[in-house]
Amino acid sequence: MAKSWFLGVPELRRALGVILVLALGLFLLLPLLTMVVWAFADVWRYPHLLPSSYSLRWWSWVFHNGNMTKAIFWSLTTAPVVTLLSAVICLPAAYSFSRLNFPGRRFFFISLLAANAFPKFGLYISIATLFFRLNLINTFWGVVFIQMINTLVVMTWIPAAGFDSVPRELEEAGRDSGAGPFRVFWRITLPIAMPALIVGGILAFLAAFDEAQGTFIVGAPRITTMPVLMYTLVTNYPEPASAVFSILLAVPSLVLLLIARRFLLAGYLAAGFKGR
Amino acid sequence: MVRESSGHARAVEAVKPALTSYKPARWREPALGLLLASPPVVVVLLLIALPAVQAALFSLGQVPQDNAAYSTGMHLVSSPTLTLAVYRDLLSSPFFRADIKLTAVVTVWSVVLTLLIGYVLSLYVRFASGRLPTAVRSLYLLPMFVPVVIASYALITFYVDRGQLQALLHAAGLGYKPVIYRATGIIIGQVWANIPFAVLMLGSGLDGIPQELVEAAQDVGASPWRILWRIVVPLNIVPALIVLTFTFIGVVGSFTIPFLLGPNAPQMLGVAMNAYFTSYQQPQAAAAMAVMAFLACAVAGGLYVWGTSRTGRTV
Amino acid sequence: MARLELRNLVKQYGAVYAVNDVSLEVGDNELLCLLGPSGCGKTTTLRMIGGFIVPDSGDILIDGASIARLPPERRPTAMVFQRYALWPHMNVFDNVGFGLQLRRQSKADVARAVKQALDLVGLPGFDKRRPSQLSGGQQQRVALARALVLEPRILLLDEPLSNLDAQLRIRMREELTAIQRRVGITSVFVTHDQEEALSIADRIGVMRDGVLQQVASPTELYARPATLFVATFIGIMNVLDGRLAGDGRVTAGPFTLPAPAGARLASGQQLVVGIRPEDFQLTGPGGEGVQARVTQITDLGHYRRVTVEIPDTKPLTVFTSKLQDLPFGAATIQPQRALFYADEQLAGVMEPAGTAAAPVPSTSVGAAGA
Repeated sequence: MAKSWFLGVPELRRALGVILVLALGLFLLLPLLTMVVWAFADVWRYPHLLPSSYSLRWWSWVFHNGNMTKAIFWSLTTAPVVTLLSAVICLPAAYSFSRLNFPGRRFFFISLLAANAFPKFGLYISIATLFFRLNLINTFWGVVFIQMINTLVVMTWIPAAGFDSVPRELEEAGRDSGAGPFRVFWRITLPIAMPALIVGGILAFLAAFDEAQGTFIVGAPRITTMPVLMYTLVTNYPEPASAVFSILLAVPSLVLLLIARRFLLAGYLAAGFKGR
Repeated sequence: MVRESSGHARAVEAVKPALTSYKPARWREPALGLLLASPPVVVVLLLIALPAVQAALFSLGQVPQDNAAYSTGMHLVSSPTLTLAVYRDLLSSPFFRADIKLTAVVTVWSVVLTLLIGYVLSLYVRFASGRLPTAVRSLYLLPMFVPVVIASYALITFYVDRGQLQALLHAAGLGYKPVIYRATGIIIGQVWANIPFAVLMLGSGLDGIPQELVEAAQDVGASPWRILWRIVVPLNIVPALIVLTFTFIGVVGSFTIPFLLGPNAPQMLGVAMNAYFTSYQQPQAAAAMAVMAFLACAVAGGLYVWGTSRTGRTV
Repeated sequence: MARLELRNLVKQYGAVYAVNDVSLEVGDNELLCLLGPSGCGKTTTLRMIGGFIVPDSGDILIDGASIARLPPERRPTAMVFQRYALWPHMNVFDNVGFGLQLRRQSKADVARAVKQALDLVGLPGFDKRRPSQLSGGQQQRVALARALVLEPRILLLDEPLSNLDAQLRIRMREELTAIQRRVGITSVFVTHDQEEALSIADRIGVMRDGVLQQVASPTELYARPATLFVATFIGIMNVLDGRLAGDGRVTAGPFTLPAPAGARLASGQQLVVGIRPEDFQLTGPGGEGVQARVTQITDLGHYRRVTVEIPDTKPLTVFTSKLQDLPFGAATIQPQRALFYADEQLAGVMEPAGTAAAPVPSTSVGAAGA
């Protein structure tokens, strides 16, 4: 499997590869590592490469701070609900875009992109006035709806590509074996498309979990999620507090990363964004 | 015992069986398709299109009368007809022009660097073999799963004045010019956050290039650079276009990264919007900025639609 | 044991007739091949029988009962798909047993039937494998087992061998016909490979542009192609322009042939004359016939393929026995058997001297002026 064309000399290529990986690794990981060290630091002054003393007191501070636990609670309730609601709204549409023929199909499909293209802050202000009239300001469902905006594209496009990837022959073979259209969908189409649905769901969860701006506008002060609280922490508290909180905030995402790797994230994501 | 017939001429004479047409109603599939596709479209309509149109009208001088928030003590342009006054005021402000310039500079650099680094990494993953490319494959995904607030915070602790990077360079006897709270800091953050998407898209495009094409070019003696420019890049143009579009849209409208990593002035559009709305009490100017950013993104979106519809996939 | 009948099936896509008024009967336990170039409508016909395409008009009957209005899951047909269409998320057992489980059969019954089907196709003990762990030929067998386990009355096969390599294809087609005969099931087999069709079919239906040209046994199809298209599509055929002269003889290129008895031809009528390569007599120079030159000889083992040139005529392809000593250069050539086509339809056959000339079969399709 020597694909040595891309640099003539093997040694050079290998060396370049190592440098490349190291550079990327340092670029991506060093900031995160620094943050992790900060979470356990007590005193760390420049130009020391490591803290002069360590402590866990910021951990207990975070766990005993009412705001923090409240934020963790809101984050872990809103994001899953958003993901589920988004799935309910988007998955039938994904199937429809993939399998059914109707006027305006391509237009509607692309129109979801508008959710990504309009600057969020501009929207959130208008939405906030709308929500104000609907009594959704400062409510759980208001936050859910505002977070859902960010999930529409991934939750529709990627599962649609997943349904696309199920050959129609497999469905026809199911019909041929005596299964009606609904049974074919449940027993054949859905299981085969499932990895793409999971990838879409994971990315939707991340998008919802990550959302801070709209959540702040609609939810504050009652409903503050972890990313919202993070803004205050970054500006108002010493480094270790934010670092500890960041690690907590990163845990769900990193668990999802491990899950997503199993599902060939790359293929499904790329297929979802390749248009139709 | 056996009878066969076929042909146009006979079709007319033959007595047709009673059954002539038993297609399921033609409207059924389109109707079901529209019904199933409508929920997200309705959400886009209600939560994106409607507010966006309202914001646009507001920025054009149509102040909603029933909104108490806009009634007292605010400087608002209100006109019975559509007016570009808000835009004129904004664009004549040197501060805002600096904001636009910063946005443009950061966007261009971020898009170019993301594409470049993404390309190099995806080429490496595609064409090199061994344990290292496998490591890269897991590594580059990481930023996609780190919430952007955390990423920004981590980047601050690392790149900030008297931060960890400066400490490392100091230990090595090197100097350092801090990048945080400057345009460079924003660009670093954007590239950090956008690498996974770029590598995923470009990599999957490269996987689609048949090995034979590359080998055929090698056979006729093409140099690696030539193969890259004449074969790989042209064949991988659509994924590159997608990366370009989505990185562009993401950076232009971004808030968190420029807010935490950028300077206090000038600001990127996303941050400026926030400031004009909350601090300067100029909601109309904020709406006008949103419209301008949207128009820029719409152009990029058009590029995406044009690029993907040319790949041969039809509806 | 079932009879399949197609009556005046029509399927139109826009202005194009994919299938144009096809009527056809397939008898008990018969294996009928639908043969034709791609786009001729053979797969569309098969998919209409299976219920995946709704015909615009016409009817489909099994044992006299119309099934045309039934969805695929309620038809007593089973299809083997071109690319097998095995479900990747199920193992072999579940693939084969899926339809039986839907019928709410007991677990033991399902297991027994699946085992029987896998034994039948020669894959005993493969039940726990995934489709991705099987070779192309094995996937093909599983697909066949999945179709047979439901005990359909009609088996439909859509180019089932086209994805296999050449050697395996020949082995599989022998096994396939053996299984079909053993089970005794009425089958429709679609293929574009004439050798495949000729070697397995009881009868072959040749299609072109949505029209069924001829349905006949392989022997009949080769010997008496009903239309000029079938004549040139099946095997090799030398085609010459001809004309019926006033004296009752036919001029065909350089040759003069006696008009066949009983042919309904008018004097002066334009004809196309088809002569199979093995139907020429090729002898040394100066014999009785047309003087010609042998320009190329290809030894194909048990026979020779010879190119013969006559001035002002397309080169002719002639098969000769290996026993015949044949030098390059001057030679004499004369057709022994010829097929006459008027308006692309078979109008008469000139049989070799000493053979009784059979009349043009009345079953031939849409004969001119009929």
